Amino acid sequence: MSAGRRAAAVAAALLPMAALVWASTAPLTVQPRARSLVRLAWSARPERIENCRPRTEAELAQLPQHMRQPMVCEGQTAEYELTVRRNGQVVLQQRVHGGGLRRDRRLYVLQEIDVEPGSSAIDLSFDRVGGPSSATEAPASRGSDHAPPHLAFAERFDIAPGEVVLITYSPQEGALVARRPAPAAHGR
Amino acid sequence: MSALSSPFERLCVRVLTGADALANRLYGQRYNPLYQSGTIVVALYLVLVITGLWLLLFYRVGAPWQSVAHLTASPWTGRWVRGLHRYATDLALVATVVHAFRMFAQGRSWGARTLAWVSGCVLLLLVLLCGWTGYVMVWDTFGGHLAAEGARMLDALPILSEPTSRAFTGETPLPTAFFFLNLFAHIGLPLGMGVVFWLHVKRLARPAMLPSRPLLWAAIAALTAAAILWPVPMGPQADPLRLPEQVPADLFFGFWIPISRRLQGGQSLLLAVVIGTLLVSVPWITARRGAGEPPPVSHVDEEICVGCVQCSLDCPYGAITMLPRDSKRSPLVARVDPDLCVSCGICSGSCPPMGVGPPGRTGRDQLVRARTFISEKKLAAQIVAVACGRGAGTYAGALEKAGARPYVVSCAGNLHSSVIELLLRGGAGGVLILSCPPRDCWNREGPRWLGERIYHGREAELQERVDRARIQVVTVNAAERAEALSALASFAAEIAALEVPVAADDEDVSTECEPAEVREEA
Repeated sequence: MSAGRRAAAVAAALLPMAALVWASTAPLTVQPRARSLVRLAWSARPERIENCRPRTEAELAQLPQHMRQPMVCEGQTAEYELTVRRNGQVVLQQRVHGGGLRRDRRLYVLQEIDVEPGSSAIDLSFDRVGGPSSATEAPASRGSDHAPPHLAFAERFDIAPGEVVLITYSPQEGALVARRPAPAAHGR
Repeated sequence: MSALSSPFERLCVRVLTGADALANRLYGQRYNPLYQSGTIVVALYLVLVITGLWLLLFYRVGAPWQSVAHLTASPWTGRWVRGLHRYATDLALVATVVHAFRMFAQGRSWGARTLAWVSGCVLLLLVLLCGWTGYVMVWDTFGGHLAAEGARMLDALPILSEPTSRAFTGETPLPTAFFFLNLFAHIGLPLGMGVVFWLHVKRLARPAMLPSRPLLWAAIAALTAAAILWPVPMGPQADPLRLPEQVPADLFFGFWIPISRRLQGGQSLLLAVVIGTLLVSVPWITARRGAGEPPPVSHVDEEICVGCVQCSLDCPYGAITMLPRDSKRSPLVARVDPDLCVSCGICSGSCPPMGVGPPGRTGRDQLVRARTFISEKKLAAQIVAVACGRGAGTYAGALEKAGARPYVVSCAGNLHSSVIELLLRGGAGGVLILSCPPRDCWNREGPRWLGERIYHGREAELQERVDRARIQVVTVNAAERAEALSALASFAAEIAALEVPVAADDEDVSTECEPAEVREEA
């Protein structure tokens, strides 16, 4: 093989290798410039609204002895209305219900709202739709992981470019809370 | 040979042969990396296993980013190994795509090769998934993006009560179990690849597993040098509460992110499924390539078969088995499995009594055709250029203009040695066989068996009485016209210098190979 051809062979090997290295390490633009987000993310068990009434003596008499429950309850899991306002403008309105076909599983909220970097007043409400309409209708269960009938959040943020403000539900506090990013860790 | 019907397929062949010719000029046929793309993937797989095992020693699922950052900071034991691991992954992906393109362009993707194509698509998917999980393991901004995008696609499937994307919202720190599962997938997928690879080569006899040794070491050395000179970057730790504009990415595995960011998760998933389905459907889309019907499979004339097992040994696809029979002729008889036969016709050249081969291409059919050729061309010491139909046969006109008598065959590996002898006895001054390069044979082992039959006495061997000085085998592809013409000119000069005239035609070539009893019966 001549020296010229050998040099060409080496160059031809280096070229794709350089392309491989470049493509393997090239920075990839994944976000449009100066995009910021308000992210709503939480999960909770929806309240179960039950309407209970005592059985009459006649009803109880018709039942087998082992099925004579004195109270009969019918109910449904609650639905919630999520409304988000940014600087007074409604930017999101959504009905949230429990998961599963019968909508009796945990509900979750996962929404991302694009915002301009800078100051933003975020006002959020999460309200049960309907609710106990009479003295006999009442939430049947309310543990620490159940969504309360009403949640509200209002705060003004100064959001940096590329920042995500997370608004989530804290069961311990029983309220919506905001989380901001920690100082970044950089690789070597 | 199946006709290439669409302009796209013809374009693919042209691009491939052009690239092959260029690489042949630079590296020679023996070290042409394009011919060995499939085996390069296997070699890189081994590199990935070895480097991956080393990296695994330092990886901690409880602190993924920190452990990889610590590893990357170590110039002797970590940084270059990680670089080699990544660059080998990228090259493996490129080589896989080149290999698939070659198979598609050469029409080696359907019929009996369907299993190899489909399993190859599965291997490609596994390579992508393996790379995906590998980047998630690092858990830098690129890994975080890959994980979040994957979750977005997964959420389009109505199989989970809660979206998996919630894991990447920043509500709670990612559990160690996630990284453990990811690590498990990153190790398990290559194991699965081993099984699929077995399926991939299952229908091949003597599959080539590794590239030629110099090429193997050159590739590893080049990747290692790249890993040392250009260490792979380590991005900031993934933080779901930050949206970096850019991430230090690997375009081979992250090229789709800018597209998927513009689509809904379901649309991205649908697009991926459509592309995957199209790839897997290639055998059915391209089947019959304008030929009307698939090429006929080989058949065995049991009256002629002497049970010598040579066709069974030579078949590159293991499509011929020897079965016992109750006959005076031989205790064994060859049987072709039509599901495995790709109609390559290699068996035609391997059968001494010429009793096997695709219809119209058996040794006997070849002799009939050669006789017609001799009588039509009225050979007077010209060179007969036996050209492979997919290679030098594409510029048969140029060979004729250069003074040769082109004789195009479907594959040089099909050529029965008796045809060579017949051509010489019929008046040819010499026979120049223009075969495809050994690693580029569309029928895998044609040039190998051809050379052994002519020069090393492999059945059905070229008789010793035939003057080897009047035969030359040259390997060229469809884009190497200049090389073929140059070889023709130099061979013609050699033939012209020969003093001994061509032997007289005093024996019946068509039956001389057959055992005595067959001749008597005839």
